[in-house]
Amino acid sequence: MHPRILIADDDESSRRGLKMLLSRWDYEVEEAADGREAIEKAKVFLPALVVTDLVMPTLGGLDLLRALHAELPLAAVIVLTGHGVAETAVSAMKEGAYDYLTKPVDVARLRILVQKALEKGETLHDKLPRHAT
Amino acid sequence: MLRNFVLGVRAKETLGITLLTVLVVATTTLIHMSQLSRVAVQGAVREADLVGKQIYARLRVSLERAGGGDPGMVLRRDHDLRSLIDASVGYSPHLVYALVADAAGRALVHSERERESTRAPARPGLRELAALGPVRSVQALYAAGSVYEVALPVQLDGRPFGSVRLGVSTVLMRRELSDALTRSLALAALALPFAWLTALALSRVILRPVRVLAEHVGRLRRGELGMTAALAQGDEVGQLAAQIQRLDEQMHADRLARTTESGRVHQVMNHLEDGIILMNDAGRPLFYNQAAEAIVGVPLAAAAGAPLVDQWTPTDPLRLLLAPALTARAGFHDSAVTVTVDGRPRELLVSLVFFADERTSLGAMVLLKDFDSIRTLESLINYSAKLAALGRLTSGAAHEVKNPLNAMMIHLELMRERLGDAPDDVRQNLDVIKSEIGRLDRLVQGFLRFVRPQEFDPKPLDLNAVVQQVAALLEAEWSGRNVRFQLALATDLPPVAGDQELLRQALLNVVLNACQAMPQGGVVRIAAEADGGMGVVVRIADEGVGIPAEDLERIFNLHFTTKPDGHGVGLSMVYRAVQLHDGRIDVTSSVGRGTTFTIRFPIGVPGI
Repeated sequence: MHPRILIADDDESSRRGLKMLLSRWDYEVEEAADGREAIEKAKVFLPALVVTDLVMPTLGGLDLLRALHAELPLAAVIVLTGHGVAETAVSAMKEGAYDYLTKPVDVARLRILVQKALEKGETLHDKLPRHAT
Repeated sequence: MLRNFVLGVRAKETLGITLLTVLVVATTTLIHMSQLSRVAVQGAVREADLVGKQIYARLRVSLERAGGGDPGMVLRRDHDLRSLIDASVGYSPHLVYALVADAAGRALVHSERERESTRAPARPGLRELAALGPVRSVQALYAAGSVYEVALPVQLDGRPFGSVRLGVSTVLMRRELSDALTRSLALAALALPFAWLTALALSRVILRPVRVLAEHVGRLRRGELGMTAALAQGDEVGQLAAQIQRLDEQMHADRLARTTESGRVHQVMNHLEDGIILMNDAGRPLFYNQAAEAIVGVPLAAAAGAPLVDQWTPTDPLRLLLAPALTARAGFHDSAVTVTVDGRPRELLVSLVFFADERTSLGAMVLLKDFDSIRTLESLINYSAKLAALGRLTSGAAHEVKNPLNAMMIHLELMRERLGDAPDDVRQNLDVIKSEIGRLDRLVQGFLRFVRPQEFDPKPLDLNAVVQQVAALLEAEWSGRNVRFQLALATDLPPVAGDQELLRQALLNVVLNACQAMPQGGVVRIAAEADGGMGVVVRIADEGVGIPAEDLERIFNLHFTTKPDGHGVGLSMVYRAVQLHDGRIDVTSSVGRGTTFTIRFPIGVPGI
């Protein structure tokens, strides 16, 4: 079974491109256009990794992070930030994000980060055998 | 005036001692005289007694021998008795008469024969005189009627017969007393000047510390503080001196505090950009600060004597504004006036305020605000507000630009993956697109940094090193176009808390501007020095075309440019960078002669 990744981004073009790219890398990918949709889909899709934009309508990236932490504590999160302002990324890390990438994303770096985040999630998963997936 | 009759301590003391001496001399004289008089009277009484007793003894013998008959006849015929009486009166210096009287007071025998058989009038008794007090006895001796009597009652066969009476003159006693009085007076005459001199000398000694204290207090009153009275006695004067000493110290401390306070106020006043003039009720200046002095044109010390308005010519706008208002006592607020200061016109906002309590006017204050600096401030505030609005606008826009860039980058990678083993020229095209996306991103990033810098990382840094870096970079490029660099970098420059990259960019922009301002070549002078302990000041001066006055205040505006191919971003970035460092940038320029940028940076870590 391929690891599941949920993409949350309000920019359709970026979202579609990411979905195609991640699918080509053999991941099972679901997409959401804003934070609220992302949290609803995550409850059903149960992704191992969420790649999310920070600025979105209805529910921003930081709020999504908090909600995911409550619903899916084992899901890793990679944040995409358009601002390039360190403090926003730092607050995301404090909220439990695995790492962050600035837009436009460095695709090679994204590939490595995704792999690492999933490996870490698996390790955590192994350590919590009673958790049902 | 009453004041003139009030005696000084010294006069009082001298008078007191003199009076005391007089009193002592008088008293001792009186006591001495009364004692003398007592001794004299008692002596006379004893002498008279003795004589009286002799006469009495003789009288008895005579009467017994006669055995009867007229006692007067018997006695008068007794030659022994008569010679006794005559001898007694003759030899005694005091006795003036002696007589034997019968019970009726008639003289039976008298030293003065013609008075025999007549009634002898009674005289005051000498014994009574002796019994009187010292003053009364002396008084009595000197009173009129200088003869006193000592009488001895005579009894024969147990019956009163009469008396032997002796007249005693006080003249001799008085003479003795007078001698004593003369001596006493002579003594007093000697003692008085002596006492007076002593009193004078004594008062000098006693009053010396008081005089020293008085001088000391006088000095205190004149404001000569911090003097130590050299009076360390433990007596009353010493205690007073100690009290005055404490008062002195207190006043000294008070004055010091006041001086410090007023010094501080003056310092604050002198640092104000607005001119302040305080005047008394007559319109004479009491105080004005440095800013006001520049406008009045005369130092306060030279202007203090005359009314303030006299410092200006009759046609001076300030005089025309202030003189009628001062006469009418009508204050006003922010009246605009253009004056000439140091040969240059300056616009001022003038206010006049009167101070008064319920009844009297206390003076007035003139406030001279520099309209130019108010305008500069307003344009600065406007500029900051514009920057803030622009920041909000552009950071949103930048985010919107980032999304398409992101999508392009992702789709580009997708394309690259799908193409797989594509020919090299296609790969090259893809690389170009990728690098262009990167360039676009950097552009947006730079723009974002301008409105809201991403990384402002202040560290202690040496501005000299940054200046040298910038100069070396531009010298290589511009030396071919006749631009030379002259650096005057102080070696004692304190480190500035700054972002190396941001400052390098800012200085590069300013120096580049200087180079571009000199198409025919010239010298760019860069100086860095300590700014009076407050920070560091960097001056960049060129010999270029200069900036017209109307453009000067707009040069830091975003998109303001005079260059045909300029973007109007460079100096805005400089302004922003200096602002981020809590610094200040000023520019002066003269068309055709050159432009000087002055940048000041504070020491210490700026607010991040």
